[in-house]
Amino acid sequence: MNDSDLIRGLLNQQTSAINYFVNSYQQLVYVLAVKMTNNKEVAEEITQDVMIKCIEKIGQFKQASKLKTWVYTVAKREVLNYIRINKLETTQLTENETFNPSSEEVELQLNNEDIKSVISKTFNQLSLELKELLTLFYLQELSLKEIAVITELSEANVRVKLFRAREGFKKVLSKKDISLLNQLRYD
Amino acid sequence: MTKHLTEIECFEYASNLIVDEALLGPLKMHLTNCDLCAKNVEIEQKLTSDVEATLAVNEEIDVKETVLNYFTKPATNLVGVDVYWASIAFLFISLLLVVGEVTSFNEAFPQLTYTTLIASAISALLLVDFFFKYLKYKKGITS
Repeated sequence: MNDSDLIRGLLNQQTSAINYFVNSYQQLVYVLAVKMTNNKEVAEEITQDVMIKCIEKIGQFKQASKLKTWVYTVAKREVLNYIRINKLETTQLTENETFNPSSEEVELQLNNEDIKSVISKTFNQLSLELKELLTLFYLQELSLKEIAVITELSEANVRVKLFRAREGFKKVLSKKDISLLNQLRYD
Repeated sequence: MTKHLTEIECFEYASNLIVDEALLGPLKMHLTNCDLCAKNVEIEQKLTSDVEATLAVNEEIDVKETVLNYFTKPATNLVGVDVYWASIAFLFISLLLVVGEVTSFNEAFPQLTYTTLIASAISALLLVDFFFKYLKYKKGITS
């Protein structure tokens, strides 16, 4: 089913179109929601709301972008609304350090499990914007152009922010932040 | 290209963000000749795969049923008196009876001819309109 047929079906609220739409997009929305909220139950609830909202408001989709991009935009707004209304806590990494470890140092100090723990911990401390960017880039494999449309940033800005987020990972994986690793090992 | 790749170039190359062949060609050429840069790109690629593996969400959800339920209208139980339409019908019939009682339309409005006939015709049209609206309403709630 192509996007045009799907949209026509959704406008008429046909069961087959709703089924197809939910099957195609629920997991994508869930991944974004779970990564931004870090809560599976909340993410599932948001996914339901996003699916319903998209079907109800499909008439507002002007087809200027891909349907997938529009669904992500709706999902992003829904997640941000949920976080704002329910006052979910988010934390941000401080950006005052400019330590650049050599890649060899990173490799030598940490094994695979350590690396995953540190990446996971670091990701949870990122700002919502960076969480969204990294999720769209690494997990949804969207192009820079599509990410730029969803996040309402320029492509160059997305590129720089992705690089900085990545630097954040490298920074905490470095020798300077070995205390974090020790803390994770004792958690 | 004689210079080593910068960190951002390593990142962009490893993440397939460079699509311009004019930039990509010299980078590839340099990487075949420079072990240090090749190693840096390899480490960037390793970091990418680590990030992807760590952030991956393995749980799958299925909200299809909830969404479908939301869009499926429940059938209205038509057993019993439909209070809304019964009230309107009652008021309408009462109005017709009251109009029927007024026999002096022609005397009240001597300047108009066939006043009673016109009033009856309007009432009849309203009754037909009411009947069709009811049919439409009934069809709407049972579909």
